Amino acid sequence: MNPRSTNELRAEQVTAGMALPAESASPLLLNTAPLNIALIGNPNCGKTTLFNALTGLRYKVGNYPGVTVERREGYANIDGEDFCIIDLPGIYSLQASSLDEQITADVINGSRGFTRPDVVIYIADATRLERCLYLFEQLRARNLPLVVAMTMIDLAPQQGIAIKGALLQRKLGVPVVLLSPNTRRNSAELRASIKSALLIQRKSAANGATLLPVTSPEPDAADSNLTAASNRYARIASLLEGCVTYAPYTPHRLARILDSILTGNISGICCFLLVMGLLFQVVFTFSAYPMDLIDSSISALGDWLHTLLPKSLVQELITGGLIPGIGSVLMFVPQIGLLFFMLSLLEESGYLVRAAYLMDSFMRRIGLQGRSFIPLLSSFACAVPGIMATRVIPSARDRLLTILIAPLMSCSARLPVYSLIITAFFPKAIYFGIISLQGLVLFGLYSLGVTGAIIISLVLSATVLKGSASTLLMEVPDLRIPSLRNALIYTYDRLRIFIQSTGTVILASSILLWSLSRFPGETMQDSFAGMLGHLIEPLFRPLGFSWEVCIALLTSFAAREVFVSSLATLIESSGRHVPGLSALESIRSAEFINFPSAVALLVFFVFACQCFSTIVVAYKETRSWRWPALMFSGMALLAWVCSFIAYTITKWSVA
Amino acid sequence: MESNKNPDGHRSLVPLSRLALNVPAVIRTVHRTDRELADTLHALGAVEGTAIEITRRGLFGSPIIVRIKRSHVAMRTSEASLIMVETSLSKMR
Repeated sequence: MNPRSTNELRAEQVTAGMALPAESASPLLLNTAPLNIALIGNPNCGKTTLFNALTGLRYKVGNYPGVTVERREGYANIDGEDFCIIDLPGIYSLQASSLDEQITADVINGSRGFTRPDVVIYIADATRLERCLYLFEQLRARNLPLVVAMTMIDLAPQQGIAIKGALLQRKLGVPVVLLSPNTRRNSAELRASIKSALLIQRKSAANGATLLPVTSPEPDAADSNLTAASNRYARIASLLEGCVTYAPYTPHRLARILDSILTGNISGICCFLLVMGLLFQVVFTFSAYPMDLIDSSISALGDWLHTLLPKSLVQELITGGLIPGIGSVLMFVPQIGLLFFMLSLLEESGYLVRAAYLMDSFMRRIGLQGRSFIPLLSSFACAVPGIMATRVIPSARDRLLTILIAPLMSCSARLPVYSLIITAFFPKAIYFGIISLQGLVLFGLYSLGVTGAIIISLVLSATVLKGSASTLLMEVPDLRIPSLRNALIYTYDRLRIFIQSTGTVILASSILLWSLSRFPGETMQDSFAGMLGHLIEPLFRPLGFSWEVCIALLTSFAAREVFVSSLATLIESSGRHVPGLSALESIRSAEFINFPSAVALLVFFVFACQCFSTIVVAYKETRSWRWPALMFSGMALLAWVCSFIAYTITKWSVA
Repeated sequence: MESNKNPDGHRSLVPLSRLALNVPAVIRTVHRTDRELADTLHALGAVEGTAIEITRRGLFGSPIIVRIKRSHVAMRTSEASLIMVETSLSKMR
């Protein structure tokens, strides 16, 4: 880093060069409602950092109506004045071909019910100025007050880039602010620039003439062809002429070596396995401690309320439905939090793109792309954070396909079921001194899920998603040290959204499931769930499932591991619990399940999507019931067929 | 093999996907068979006359990372085949 040139850059501060209109800015800004300001810029240009710095935590996150494009809107106090800030998705052009571009175009045009912003702050990365001005050129034609905020100013001199801000400001005809890396220092300058952008706009509107720019904005911003694109870059080159000079530069040695290791074909894969191992450890293992804590606190709270409250239906509702429901929502928090914290750090450091580059060689063979890998890996811990993590996939088609196959990865909630059935039905045999039969079966179940996912992905690519091809086209940003603050804010956002929108539905469905197994009769057999269990039993008879198993399957929709406790409850209440034997041993002795149907049950659990939370989160992420419905019914069919095959083969080979 | 020799006979037009590693080339045209893809390629700097170079090639030849307008872009060979570049004939893959 060269402090002298940074200072030179800043010394050239821009307000001096601006032909500010004569009248004072104040009358404009005395409006009672705060001005709407939209932030627009390329991905990885430092837009989120600026948004976070301006708004602090005074913002809300949601989605644009009907689509999954994220909407962040907040209030900022810039140099003593309040503004409403809208963070628009990071895009490269305004051609309106992708959903993100469409939304941005709608917002800045004020179409489809969006409020047109009063001022647009365009964020440009100083180290990639030429590329960044491409979108700026398209925006310039939209006749909105514009401010250019330049980021990565401290990196530019390191890369041999010298920028004459004042000259650039004159040539662009809009205020240019060089953002200090210390974000707190920028507010006075930003506010002044917002004012002058508004004044320039007023003035040009009053005069009916365009303002200062050397080259006039392009006639038709929507023009989409190679000549238009080439012309746009030619205009940018003439704008930048004399404003930006490039000295020959070689990237920092350490960064260069690190980058070549991380993207090398052999070394890259090794590093990738290491990073993924760490990620998986953190999400899967570290989250176990807070999850155990939540689990025990919730059951302690339930027990305490059970003794505290008089015995009544309300007490049962609270201790049997409400508290476990809240518990099942909170149980997701550690995994989601840790996963998104890690993902944010990996994304901002520039590693996620490199990982996607490495994995694409493998993933494209099954109709997916490199970015699908991490959401699928996370789904081994739990499909809920895994499906939420598909937001890192920009292509809508690849994202949908990843969501649809994520529940086929065997999640941690299946493990108690697997282990119950495996320990009850498979002997503790050890082959060759190290390979345990039980372990082998468990490994087989995980592999079965992955194999199923690959086949389903190929089938869906060739059928439902046939029209659209998977693509991979992404910028590879320089490696940099991620911001802890941004990661924490991102994690907080994800958790808040999860608890508010997905959590409430999960809570409601868990109360619904409780009432199904509580009414009208007192015990599980006499409940709606019990009746349903009896009702669906003929459907599962070919798989050898008894009606008790069917009831337990139904109750396991709240969470798969509930299957185990439901079965235990049913054993006890049926009076078939053998004294002196554990529930595990009783399962076998009570002959709820014989060996072939145990195998069938394992296979059923591998493939069936019996998890309300997964279905709810898939609905939230796809914004339609169509895909979760396809996911549920497709997986149910797959589970039944594979289960039947497993049952038949096992029965035949046992006999 | 597709190759349009220029008058001097030493330059050749090839799809970017067939360019060798670390060989500088200049973009001559971008096929617009997929509009959305082409628009994104343009926005990332792939327009006529721009210098381009493959800096990394993946395990099975795809994806690749290219340097263009002072930034790096990863793409598959299927996307790269839309970009026609000019380079010296001897430097093809």
